[in-house]
Amino acid sequence: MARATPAYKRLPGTGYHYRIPPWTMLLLFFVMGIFVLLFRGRRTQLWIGKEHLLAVESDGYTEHYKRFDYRDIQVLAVRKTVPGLIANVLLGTVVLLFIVLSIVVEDPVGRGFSWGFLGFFGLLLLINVLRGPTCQCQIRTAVQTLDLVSLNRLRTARKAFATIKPMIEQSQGSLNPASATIFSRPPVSGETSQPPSSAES
Amino acid sequence: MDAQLNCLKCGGQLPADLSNRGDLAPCPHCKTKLQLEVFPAFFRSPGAVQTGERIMIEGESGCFYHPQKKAVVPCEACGRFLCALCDVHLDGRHLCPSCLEAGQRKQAIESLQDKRVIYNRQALVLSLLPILISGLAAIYMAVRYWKAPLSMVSPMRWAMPVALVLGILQASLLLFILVAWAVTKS
Repeated sequence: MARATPAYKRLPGTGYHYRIPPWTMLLLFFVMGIFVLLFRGRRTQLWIGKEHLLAVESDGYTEHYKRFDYRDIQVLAVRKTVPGLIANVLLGTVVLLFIVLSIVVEDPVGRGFSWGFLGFFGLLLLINVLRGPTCQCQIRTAVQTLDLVSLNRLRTARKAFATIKPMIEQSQGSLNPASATIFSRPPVSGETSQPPSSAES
Repeated sequence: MDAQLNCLKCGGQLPADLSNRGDLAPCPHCKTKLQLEVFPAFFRSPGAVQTGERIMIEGESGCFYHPQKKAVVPCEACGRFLCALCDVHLDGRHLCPSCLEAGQRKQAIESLQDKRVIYNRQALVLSLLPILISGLAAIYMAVRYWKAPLSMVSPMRWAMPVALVLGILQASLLLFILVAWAVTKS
């Protein structure tokens, strides 16, 4: 029997609508342990469909959907942010501290603990470095602007954009570079604001 | 709308040459690195609002909701005649506002659904909980919501049958424990 093709395909990236700031979660981890995940909030992912982009927010038992029709998407924007860099600096400092401790401490039990913590924080640092710089992504339509929290790493955002962009261009046509200059000045009365697109020609 | 782009950080207006470069470029105001992909919809002006034409000739079909306006299309769900104002075009179908509202309320129109309760995952979690009584709850969930709509993106069709089987196993175990306890006591 032929399998039905799925209606949606998942884009890379998962984000969370944190109930408290992520750095507070890091501090609370040392107090509450794994239970700090209760503050993580809804998980957000992006899925591409035939005619629209679907943002799915899930708490495991309920899913909330937001649809962005490819015809209506006006702008996809990415901004490089610093939390990834800050995390690298902090984790790097901690790793250095434990390297020094593991050299200085002569007690075998203390040295064991130092190596253990060094391994743990070193792994976190490695993961953060490999995931690349952090970013903020936004999608804009005529009626709303939404933060795409699932695209929180630059590399993931670029991959996702590379998938979404052809779908939008297939629906709207690609933008003529000359017409892009229109938005830098206020529209003149009576002037049409519809740019020529390759789909029309 | 005014065709202008603003920086995501400082809110300053961005120049045109910053868009569609395919790479990060600094904002001229705050130097934050940005990448903007602008599409033709950004320049599209909002279309004219359809208000519906008034009936000019006697005998012309009128709209069910606005009898003085000319009917242009029937609702594909209930067959009522609709004017241009009442005609809602959705997923290639022409619907009237009542059918649209009913469809949204009864979750009959998939493209209008903005929330789904994922009962099969709830049943599966209940069946996996190491509390014997949760097996009964899993059986109830599986039977009661067997036909409930699944997740749009990851349906997990296997979850409900698995939950039912595990629930039955848990319930059987509970029954066995109760019978064994009763026998031992008597």
